[in-house]
Amino acid sequence: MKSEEKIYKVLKRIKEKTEIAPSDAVVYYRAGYEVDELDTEDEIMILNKLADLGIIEVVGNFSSEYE
Amino acid sequence: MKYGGYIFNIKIKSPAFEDAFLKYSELADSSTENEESVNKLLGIHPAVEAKCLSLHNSGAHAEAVEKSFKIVKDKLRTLTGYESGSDAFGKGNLYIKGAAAPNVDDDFNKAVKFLMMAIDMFRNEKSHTSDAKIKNPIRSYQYLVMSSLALYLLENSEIKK
Repeated sequence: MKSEEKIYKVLKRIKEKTEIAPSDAVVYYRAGYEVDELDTEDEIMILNKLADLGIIEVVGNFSSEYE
Repeated sequence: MKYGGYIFNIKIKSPAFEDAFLKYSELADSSTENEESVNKLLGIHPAVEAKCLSLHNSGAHAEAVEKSFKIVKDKLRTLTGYESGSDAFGKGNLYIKGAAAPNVDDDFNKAVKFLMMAIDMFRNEKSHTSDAKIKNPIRSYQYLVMSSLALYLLENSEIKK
């Protein structure tokens, strides 16, 4: 799978989530579980790239769901 | 890499997100395009495709259908100032061009008017329940096609004085 396609799949998943969320809501994204074809490392790397490019804003990032 | 955890709380940044989505959808390889071209080939209006197809594909059928009806109402409001089909054609003097022949122009306009009124009624009926009784993706897609037809017809319209 090309890197552009991987990025597109992540963008598509984010779009799906934001369309059913309230406007300007913070969206929960669990890397490694959202896109079947991608593994955790891929998704984390893509989300970092999207944040670097100013396409998304990461307001929280955690290694566990438990505080 | 700045963020190493696998749990992300994110917000999208408009319009950069929409621009990136369009750019990468074009760059993505043909297998992804083929997956989506099935829908495109069936004549979904671009406005419906942009706002409803991802909802439809994610299984949120009721939301996709309702949103498509709202897109039609938005278009009617933009054209005439009225968002219901009957008012748009009545008080708003909306006229749809493109009848098959001059002698059936009135029939054609009545048909489009009743299509808009049907969409009004469907939207009202479906908005009373959470799932709108649309669990079948094919049925959902059929409603999206109906909204698309309405939008394409409205694109070829004018306000008669």
